[in-house]
Parts: sequence; C-alpha cells; structure tokens
Amino acid sequence: MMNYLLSLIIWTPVAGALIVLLMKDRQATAIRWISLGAVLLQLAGSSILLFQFYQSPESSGSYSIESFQFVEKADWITMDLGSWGVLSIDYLLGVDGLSVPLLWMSTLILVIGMISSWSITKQEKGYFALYLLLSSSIIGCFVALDFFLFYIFFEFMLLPMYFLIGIWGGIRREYASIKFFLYTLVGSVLILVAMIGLYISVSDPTEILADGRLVRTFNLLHMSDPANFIAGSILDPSYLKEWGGVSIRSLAFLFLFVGFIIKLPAVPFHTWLPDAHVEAPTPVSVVLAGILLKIGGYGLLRTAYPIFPEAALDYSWWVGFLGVIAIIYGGFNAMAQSDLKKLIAYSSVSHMGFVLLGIAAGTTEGYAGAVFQMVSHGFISAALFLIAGVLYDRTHDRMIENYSGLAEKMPYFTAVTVFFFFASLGLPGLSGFIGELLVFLGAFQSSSINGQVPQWMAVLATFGLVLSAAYYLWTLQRMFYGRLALREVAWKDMLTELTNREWLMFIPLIFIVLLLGIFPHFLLDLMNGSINQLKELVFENGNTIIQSLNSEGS
Amino acid sequence: MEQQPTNIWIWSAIAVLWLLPLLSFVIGLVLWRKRKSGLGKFSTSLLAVSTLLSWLIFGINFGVPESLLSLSWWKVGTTEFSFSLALSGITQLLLVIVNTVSLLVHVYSLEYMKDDPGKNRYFACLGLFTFSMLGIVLSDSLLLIFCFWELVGTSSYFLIGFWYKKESAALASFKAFLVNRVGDLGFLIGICLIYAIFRTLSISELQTMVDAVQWKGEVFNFERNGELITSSPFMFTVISICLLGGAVGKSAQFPLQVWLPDAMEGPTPVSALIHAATMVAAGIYFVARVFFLFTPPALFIVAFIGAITAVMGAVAAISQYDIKKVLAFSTISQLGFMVLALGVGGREEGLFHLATHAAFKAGLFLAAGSIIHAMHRFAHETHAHFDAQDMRLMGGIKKYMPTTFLVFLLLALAISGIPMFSGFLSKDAIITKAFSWASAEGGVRWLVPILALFSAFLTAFYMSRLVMLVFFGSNKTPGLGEKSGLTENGKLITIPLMVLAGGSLWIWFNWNPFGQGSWLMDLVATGRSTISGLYLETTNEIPHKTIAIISILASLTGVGLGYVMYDEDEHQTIAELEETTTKPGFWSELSFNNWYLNELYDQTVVYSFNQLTKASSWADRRVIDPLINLTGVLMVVASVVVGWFDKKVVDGLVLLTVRITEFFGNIARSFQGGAVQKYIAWSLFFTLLVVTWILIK
Repeated sequence: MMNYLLSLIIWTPVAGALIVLLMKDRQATAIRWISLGAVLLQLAGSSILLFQFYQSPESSGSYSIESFQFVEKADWITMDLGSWGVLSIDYLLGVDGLSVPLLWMSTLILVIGMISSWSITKQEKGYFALYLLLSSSIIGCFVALDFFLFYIFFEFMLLPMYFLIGIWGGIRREYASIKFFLYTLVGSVLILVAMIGLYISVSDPTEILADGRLVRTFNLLHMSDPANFIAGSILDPSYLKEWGGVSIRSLAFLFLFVGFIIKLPAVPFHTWLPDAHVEAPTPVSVVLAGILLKIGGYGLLRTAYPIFPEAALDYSWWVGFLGVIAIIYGGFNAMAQSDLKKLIAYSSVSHMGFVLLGIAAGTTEGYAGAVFQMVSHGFISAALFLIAGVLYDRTHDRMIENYSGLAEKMPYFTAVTVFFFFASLGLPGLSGFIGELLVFLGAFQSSSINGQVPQWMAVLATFGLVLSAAYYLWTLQRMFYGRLALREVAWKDMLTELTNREWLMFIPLIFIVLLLGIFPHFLLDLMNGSINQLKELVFENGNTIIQSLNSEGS
Repeated sequence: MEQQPTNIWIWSAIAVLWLLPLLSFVIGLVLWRKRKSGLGKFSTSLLAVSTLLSWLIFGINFGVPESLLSLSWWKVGTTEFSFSLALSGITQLLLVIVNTVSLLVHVYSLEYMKDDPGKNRYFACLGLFTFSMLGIVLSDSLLLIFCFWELVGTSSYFLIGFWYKKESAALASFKAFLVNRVGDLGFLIGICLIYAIFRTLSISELQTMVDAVQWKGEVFNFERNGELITSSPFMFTVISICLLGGAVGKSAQFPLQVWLPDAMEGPTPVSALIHAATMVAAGIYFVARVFFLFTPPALFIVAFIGAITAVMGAVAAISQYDIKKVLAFSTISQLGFMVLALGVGGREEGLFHLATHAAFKAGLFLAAGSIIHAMHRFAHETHAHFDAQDMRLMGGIKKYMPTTFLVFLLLALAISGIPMFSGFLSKDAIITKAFSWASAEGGVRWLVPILALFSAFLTAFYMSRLVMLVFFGSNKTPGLGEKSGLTENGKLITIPLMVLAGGSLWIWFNWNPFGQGSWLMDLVATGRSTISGLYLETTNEIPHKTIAIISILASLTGVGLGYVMYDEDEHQTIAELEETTTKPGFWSELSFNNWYLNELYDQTVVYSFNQLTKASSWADRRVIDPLINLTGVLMVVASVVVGWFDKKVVDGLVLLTVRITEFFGNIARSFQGGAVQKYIAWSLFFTLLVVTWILIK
C-alpha cells in the first residue's frame, strides 16, 4: 500500500465524488458525511506519509529522482513521432521536503474547509462533488513530477473553483468567478507556452532508442539538469537563442514566473483575489487562501527556479522588488478596506510578498523562510477567513463599521480572533513570526553572500510589520473593543458564541500555529535537506550557465 | 574567558521561577470566564515562590562568573539557533527586581482589583507579562530577547486596554503597540545585520568575538569559525543605532515617547509594574547587554537622546494635573536619565539607576493608586462623579491617608535626589560620569551634563509641586462633608508601599549616604572588552565631591521652588476645571501638551500614512482594476471583431466560392441542357479548338 500511497491520497476524493454523484439530491446528510469521509481519508493518508517521511527527511546527493520518496512511475502516453523521436508522458509522482509540508497542510485545510461546508444548503450534491474534485487536483499538483501531469492538475483546479464561486458565491459572483477564471487562464497559457518550449528542448537521458532517436520528456527532474537539453534546441542553455534582444530562456522563465505569481498573487496581478474572496462562500475562501495561493510559490520553486536557474539569478532583483511592493502595497490596501474579508484578502497579498522576497534572496534562510511562510500562512489565513465567516453566518454582513464592542458579546470568539490576528501580524511564539524572520535573515544576508537582493529592499520590507500591526489592531479596536453597538438591533440575538462545530475548526489551527511558532524545527527539519539541495542546484547550475555564456561571449 | 560549569541546581531553580508565572497565565486562561475563583491568590502565591527563588539565587550565586545554558532549538541550513540562557550579575539583579515588584503588585492588586469582573483576565495577563519579562532578562540570544520583547509588548497591550469598553483605553493600547513596533523594526534590522556579519545571534558568542577583535586603524577583524572577517566601524555604528531603536520604543525615548502617557489608561498597578519599574526599563537593560557593540559615535547619539528625553519629560511633567500623567512623564524623564548614563559610557551607573528607580517609581505609582482607589471609593459612597486622578480635586490628603502620605513623601525625596535616599546615589553617579565624559572631549558634549543637572532640578520641582497639591492645603474633593472623607486603604495596599519606600533608603546600596556609586555597579560590571574601548579615549575624572554638591543644590532648589510656588490654595469648582485645562501661556501650554509631539505626528506621520493608504487603495480601484477590466473589454471587442470578420469575411469568402461555383456550375449545367443542337455546336467548337492548338504547336 505504501507504494501507492500518493495515488491513494490523490484519487480518494474522486472516488468520493463519484459516489456523491450517484446519490440522490435529497440525501444531503449522507452526501456530507461521505465527502467528509473522503477528505478525512486523505488527511489520514498524508499523515502516514508525514510520519514515514519524518523518519528520514534528509535527502543526500544532488537534486534528482533519488532525492524523492514515495515515487510512483508509470507510462502514461507514449507516441512515436517518427524522426522527431518519441513523445513520452509519465504518471510520475514523488515527494520531497518541499512538498510534504505543503501536502499535509493542504489535506488538513481541506478537512477544515469541509467542516465549514456544513452550512452550505444549496445544491449540496454539486457542491460536494466539486469540492472533492478540487481536493484531488490540489494534491495532484503538489506531488506530480511530470510537467504535463502537473499542468493537468493545475488546470483542473480552475474548473471546480470557477463553479464553486460562480454558483455558491455572493451577489457579484459571476463577475468574480469570471475575473478569477480569466486571470488564471492567462497564467495557464503562459505556463503552457513555456512547457511546450521545454518539451521540444529536453530529452530523457535514461532512454535513448536503438536507432539513436531521442525520447522527449516532461519529467521535471530531467528538465532541471542543463545537460539534458538537446544541443541547438530553442531552450538550450549552452547557446542562448535570442528573440528581440531577450534570450528565449529568460522569456520562458518570465512566462513561468508570471504564470505562477498570478496565482500567488503578486502585485499587479492580484486584483482577482479580493473579488474572489468577497464573493466566495467561506469554505471556498478558506481553500483559496489556505492552499491555492501556495501552489504559485510551490510552482516557482519546483519548475521555474530549477529549470531556468540562470534567468532566476538574473531577475532576482525584480523578484525581490515585486515581493517588497506586494508587502507594502498589499498592506496599505488592507488598511483602506471596510469589508473584513477584503482586508484579510489584501493581507494575504502582503504576506505572500514575503514568499517572493525569500525566494529572491536565494539563501538557505530565504528559501526556508518562503516555504515556512507558505505553510504558516496556510493555517493562519484559513483561520482568518473562518473568523470572517463566523460573523457572516450570523448577520450576513461583513462591514467593519457595522460592528463595535463585540468583545463584550462574544468573548471567546474575540479571544480566537485576537490570537489569529496576532499570529498574522507576526507575534513571536506563533508560526507567522518564524517565516517572516527567516525571510528577513535571508534578505539581509543576501547582499554579502550572493548579491541577489540589496539590503534596502529588506529594510523596506520590515515596514510591512508595522502595517500588519496597524490594520489588525485597528480592526480589533473598531470591531471588538469599545461599547457594544451594532447596525441592527436584531443582531444582538443573532451574535451568539462559537458553536461546537466552529470550535472544531479553530482548535487544530490554534494548536498548530502555536506548535510551529514555539518548535519550528518540526517543520524546518522536514524541509532542510530538500531546501538546501534546491538552493545548491539553482546556484550551481545558474552560475555554470552564466559562466559558460560569458566565456563564449568573450 | 572562563565560564562556570553549568550548575544543575541553579538552572532548575531558574526554570521553576521562570515557568511559575507562565503557569499562572495558563491557568488564568482556563479560568478566565469564571466569576468566582481564587485565581488572584493562587497567582500571588506562585509569584511568591518565584520571588523567593530569585532572592536565593541572588544570594547563593553572588559574585559567580557568568554561566550559560544552551539547548538546541531549531536550525536552518547549517546554522543552529539555540535556546540559550545566561546567568550573570546583571541577570540576577534583574530577576530580583522583576519578581519582587511583580509580587508586590500582585499583592496590591488583590485589593485594588477586588471588585473588577475581569480580574481573572487581569491576573492571567500579569502572569504572561512576568514570564516574558523574565525571558528578556534570562535570554542570551538576541533572537530570544526579541521574542520576549514582543511578548511583553503584547501583554502590555492587553493590560493598557484592560478596560476595553473604554474607547480611550482601546486607542491607547493600539497606539502603544504601534509605536513600539516602529522601534522594534530597528531592533529587527539590527538583529538581521548582526546575523549577516557574524552568523550568530548569541550575545556571549558575540562578546567572545569582540574580545578577540583586532583593530586595524580603519577596520575591525573578527574571527568567525576560524575564518577572518572584516567589518567597518561605520557598520557597527549602524547596527548599534538600529538596536537602540528597540530601546527607544520600549523605553519611551525621544522621539517615540508619545505612547507612555496614554498607557496610563491601564489599571494603576499595571502602570507601576510595566510602565514604570520593569518593561520600560527593558530598553536600558537591553542596551546594557549589547553595550560592547556600541561605537563612540553611536554612544554620542545615545547620550543626546537620553538628555533630550530627560528634559522633555521633566518639562512636560510640570504642568499636568492628572496625577498619573505627572508620574508617566517623570518616568520618561528618568528613563532618559538612564539612557544618558549609557551614552556617556556609564553602563553600570545606568543599571544602578534602573534598580533604584524601579523601587521608588513603582512605589510612587502604587501610592498614587492608593489615593485614586480611595477617591473612587469615596465617589462611589457619595454617589458623586468626578475625575479621581485630578490633583486639583485632592489637597490635604495627608490628614486622611497618613501612611500613604508618609510613603509618598519618602519616595518623592528619593526621586528628587535628596541625600539619604537611593535616588541621590544613582543620580549623582550618572551626573559625575556625564561631567567626566564631557570634560574629556569637550565641545557640544558639555550640553549633556548640563541638561542632566537641569532635569534633576526639574524633577525635584515637579515632585514637590505634586506633593503640595495632593497632600497639603485644604481638601477640595467634591462632596466632602464634616464626617465623610477619604479613608486609608487596607494592608494589602499599604504593605507593598512600605516595602518599596524602605527599599528607597540609601543603606541598601551604599553604607555612606553621600558615597560614590554602589556595590551593585560592581555586581553588574562585566570586565570584558567593548568596541568603544578600542578607541583611545582620554579619561578625565572630575572630583566627585564637587559634582555631589552641585547636584544636591539643584535638587534642593527644585524642592524649595515647588514648595514656595504651590503653597497657596487655589480652589476651583468642577465646572471651572472643565473649562481650563491649563494655564495660558506658551511654555505652560507646550509643557501641558508634551511639546505638541502628538499633534506633530498626527500632522506628519499619521497624515502621510493615511494618504498612502488612500493612494494605494485608489491605485488598486482606479488603475489596476480598470486595466484588467479594460483587458477584458478589449478581449470582448476583439472577439466581436473576429466574429464580424468570421461572419462577413470568412463566411463571405465561403459564400463567394459558393457563388462562383454556382456560376460556373450553371454554365456547365447549360452544356447539358438536353438540347442536341447545342451538344453538336459545343462539340464542334471544342474539336476545332483542339485542332487549332495542335496545328499551332
């Protein structure tokens, strides 16, 4: 069973979705329990994976298929293209220290989102089937090691998401879902172009046909080795073809980069996020903020950086700059919001800026910080959207100015809110702090180690800490402190304390945020090996390519 | 440097005394909503054990060199971030101060907060605060200090906003946290810069590197894991200024001192513990810990920040009518005094003043709280409504509350720097140090000791004013009748007061009331190298006696002037009080409004912050989003064009083809019309055509 653990984790929800589809519309309760069962199985599977992986997280040697665990490989599509060689697409799965934390975080958030979905009372059958499909494709993204397979999962996420927002969303749901769809579609097209370019440039070194023809592959690990590029192909690193003054490899990197930062999202490609969040039902927001944004960061680290290391090093100034802009600009926008959910959405933009800055810094601390920040933000942002959902469920209103003095009425809810606000503003002892600290340590160090990111950017980024403190504490002061005053008198009875179901969602999140804040080594030990490997790969290959080009040029 | 082998018993004791307040916090969190519970007494007894242990450690470990305890915490890449604690003279001293004041405040709060419905939350927060403060004291790693640093800020946030239903309290807690965050950015940047150069955040490792530093005239050479690294003095100046930023925020120094007066919204015992004795002194403690990294230019800035704060705070204290506000500004001024001491190289003198100030300022706040508590009780009994903290409604209280009066008087003498009290010893030490520092280098540096003397004079003056207004003259509390009046508080309140007043006598610090310095200064001295020590500085000791006489004179003048100026009774009704907040006049308005710093920041920093917020939001709604929508619209337009093209051009072409085919089809069809004559004619025509073609060819 262990050999197929990853497949089991991916496909369990699909099986659940099939069962759900076979049921009748009125069996809503059964549909709910079956769906919950499916995601719980997924969580169980990923927990087994986590514990197994934890036994030996250190991977030795270079970045290759050997550094992955739970690898599954099967031929999927093989097609003879005559003189072009053979097209080969594999069903290739595997996890390393980069994907395991994100994978486990996702399965937990999916369970929490499922519990939150209990309040959905419209067309349950469709909703839960789509949710389960989404669960599958998300996990597929984190474990696929074949670019084509990854892309299929990546694209497939769009579909359920589009309907989940477009059917079960708020008043402007059509606008939001179309905006979301178009944005991410543009990103997907860019990724597709880069992927096709890679496909015609990379061959599989392990399989060469008897007649000397090449086997063309989508294997991400083969793509990450510059030696596997076919000499003279358009993305051949040993001889850079140019197109309008820009090398095609840089262009391909930019395509991947933009494709993924739309998902992250980074300024200026972020405006789909607030709209999508505001219109999405609470559980969809939870999944969107908790997991989907992380696929952007994960995609950068899994594809763009290892495949085009020299372009990554080349553009790191801009990557860092975009990160800093996101931190500051997102923070100021969060300040300006009057809708609680929009505020949290913009704070997500701001916090994901740290991911870009960390990646740009290119030090171990920076990479580790970026991944840590993604995992921690997954938990924290999920909780923040649940908090907005708690209010919305009771009054159907999320406007900050319509509430005041909630602490008096809902003390426990206030305590939970204070906890997660402080977690998000980076209070030491809670997980948010560690990610940001590591990013700062990495960014400040960068100029003296590799010269990727100047120190003034890091200094500017620290200002994000003041901003996050400002918008969260201001919100606390306006909504929770002061005298109890609500827009409508009737709300006074509606605003009841947290229910048991809501506690069930918050308690695991509180526990994990505390655990990772006080004992960050649980997460860092998991990813240390892989992060180091990845960093070495990017810098070794990147510098080699740059040097070889320079020596050719001179 | 030789280090003591880790003593398991001492460290276990430290673990216990450190974790007991945390236990108090956790239990408080669980029992938070329970109305009736003995949590207060429980927390107090936990603190009593902690205090006892810290005194024991102080006694047993006295004079023992620094020892370290390092546990592995987490690592990233190859760098280990350890959970390391240090125990040295300075730690032991602070353990005793923090625990003792915290215990006294706990005892005092049992009475003071007796009737508050949120008292469980209160004691829980006190527990969290004490735990975090002890964390700052014990940590050997800059990272750990920063963690606990933020945690004390958070517990301070909760306690300032303890009465969260009050708008002003909520606002004050927000302001305090935010202003502190600004300072903490400096701290964080400093940490990151140190990490970038040294790859370690352990203070003891940094000290070891500085001990072995080679000064090459222009650059420093350090040994880091066998590797030689070079750094410039300028970098060190930058790092020290950044680290100083944290202290400027937490210790309410210029220009970030605006949060402390507002923080008085919290319960008075909290002001005594956090905003007078311990947390605000953490900045001084921290700078003292990393003092060895400071360069002479950085220390110059430190000295001036301290001097400016000392005078600004003292001036603002002069015209306040809220008794807690006077003490708050006084705290700012005294903290400035400590920072000044650090700046002139008097690390030990600054810490000495920290210790004496902790006792007398905590005492002053608790004594003020005793009066406020009595005023509240009186207002409650007589069903009157008035501001229980307004000194203009007090007066003549010495008759009603003799114990509080006596205690307050002793503590006021201590802070004013009158001989026979601790304050004289520490202030005198600082002023002496400042004079020798200035005389060594001269120039603008002379301003520092002069400002220090001036603020010492002002301190004596405003304290004497406060004592006159509150305790002497006739009582002006509304509703005061023949038989009713203010009454003295119970033992739980007066005993902590007496303890603190006793602790402000000279005898604990130096057997000679006019002596120089204290044994405490030897205790906290490290005797290790500093960056600034690398520079050859001429020292010029000015005779202590001269300075002592000058500073005593300054204090006495202040006291006397206060006594003379505020001797007469000004009787005002409440209505009059509401109309006039302060006496008109440039200086008194400037003083009353704390140099208009709040207004200045509102107009500049807060204003630009709000403008930036608006601008970002505008950009998002009016630039980026429309661009995206425009892209969408363009796509729709494009598809309409393509649609038109498809319909008119492509379809048209297809149609054209159809028509042409049709045309020729018709022609061709006409060949086969079934008319025989036409067949013959056409056949003939084509045969002729073929024949002609062959012939020509």
